[in-house]
Amino acid sequence: MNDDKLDLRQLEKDERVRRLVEALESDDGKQESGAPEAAFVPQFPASGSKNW
Amino acid sequence: MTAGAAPPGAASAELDPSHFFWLDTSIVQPRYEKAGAALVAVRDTLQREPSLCAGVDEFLDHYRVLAELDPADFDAVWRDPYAYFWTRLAFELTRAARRGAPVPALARAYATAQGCGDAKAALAMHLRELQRLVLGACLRAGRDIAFRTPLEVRLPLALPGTRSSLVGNRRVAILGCTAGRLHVRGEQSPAPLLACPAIEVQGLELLLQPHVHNLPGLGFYREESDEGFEVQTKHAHVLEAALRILARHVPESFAQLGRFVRMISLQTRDPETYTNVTHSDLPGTVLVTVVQHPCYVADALIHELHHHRLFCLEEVGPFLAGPRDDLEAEARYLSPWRADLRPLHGILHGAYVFIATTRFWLQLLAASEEVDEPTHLLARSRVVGGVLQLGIALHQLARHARLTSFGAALVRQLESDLANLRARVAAEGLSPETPFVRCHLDGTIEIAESPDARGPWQIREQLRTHVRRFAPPEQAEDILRNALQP
Repeated sequence: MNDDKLDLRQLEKDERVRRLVEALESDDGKQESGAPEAAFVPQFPASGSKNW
Repeated sequence: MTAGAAPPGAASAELDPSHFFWLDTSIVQPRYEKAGAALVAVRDTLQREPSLCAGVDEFLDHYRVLAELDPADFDAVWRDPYAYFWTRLAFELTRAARRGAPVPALARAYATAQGCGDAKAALAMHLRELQRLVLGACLRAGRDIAFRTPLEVRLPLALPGTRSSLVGNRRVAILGCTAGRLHVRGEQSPAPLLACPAIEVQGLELLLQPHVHNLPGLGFYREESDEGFEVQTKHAHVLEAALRILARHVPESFAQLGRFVRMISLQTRDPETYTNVTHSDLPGTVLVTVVQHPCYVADALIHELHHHRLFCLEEVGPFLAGPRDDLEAEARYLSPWRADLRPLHGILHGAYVFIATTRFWLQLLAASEEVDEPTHLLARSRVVGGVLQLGIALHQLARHARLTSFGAALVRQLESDLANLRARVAAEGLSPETPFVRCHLDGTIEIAESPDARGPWQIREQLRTHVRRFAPPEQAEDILRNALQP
């Protein structure tokens, strides 16, 4: 059940960094439809009313 | 309809979809890792383009402080909800500042709340906010830090990675910390900190920390409420009772709760402003409105837990192939749960969480000797209503959604789950004519009267009214004919 401790020095070597940098620095707009790693989950507050 | 190849990591969804979509907790860690990778990506980009905005050199100094931390301290800070919030905004503002990319809604609201006119100004402001994480980390680690530029914040401030808050209702300039003590310009030193309450049930500890929602542009925190955790302390007993109900009746949800949710913010509201919130950008925390009925609060906890689950699942890959189905896009579809039209993505979220809550109420019905008669009525209403609403939601998705292969696997699982729920409802002898029952904020339970005052409002009739009133005409006709037929 326990996850490994997150370590920023280790994350610097993570393969996802390269793809995220590409998404940040690409000038051709490809990141909008690019690798899943480049996209964050759709952003929203999931909230509900009192009816149900 | 489906589109696209399965994303990496989705194989588990094909091998054992029920376990993967409902029970697998290995989906938590990648979300935090990805946020960490995004922090590194922002660092890399700003190192190459230090003139992109003001304050990059200070940001790089603060990054180095985080990188030098013992992993135990970095881990505690990085699992704080604010870490993901900060990183996602930093990523989006960096991209917008660099490329002129559109600024997403939350980043726009954030920039406006901070008084920033463009993406570069907002990014400069936001880079300084990394000091919140640095401060929390240094307090935890007992490390001294003196900020070159003080951190200006509006209180109350939840210090990331700790249980402490700096409380009040004013703006302050935080200078840094020494030996675990916080220093604020022009104020008593060290600044007095308050520890938030916590509750513990069967080995699960949850922090009651409302101040984590006090963030620019977010709009959830109510300044007049709970500066000193009074609301949390006063109502913690309802939350404890709700957790015991979860442990007793849905142990599989209780066992997961601490993996997805670490902080709860209790709020008191009126019926018009009642809401429970899980925000995509604040993993690990939920805002729950207090209802004086532990089963109702238990329902809210399961509901919010599963929003967090689904956000983690979405890190594996998107569910919908059509960009217009993103939640920031136009909402055009009837939801069986809300009066406003929703994007399909919102309806998918609703279907997922209401399968979990409908299972919970069924479990309560199965243990009917343990609940009083009003609660039993409420459970029957929630089960029958849940199944009918899920039928509408999955019909809407089948009719309108263009799913990825990963999204199609999820929807197949939900359809299978709904079929199982329907079979259990039939076995319980429950019909669509079951009365619609409400639970009020004070915990009282009431059978709703039909609008024509001819007796109890049957659930299927209540839903037909909802569809006729709120659906666009072509959707209403389709739903009434195909998803709510007698």
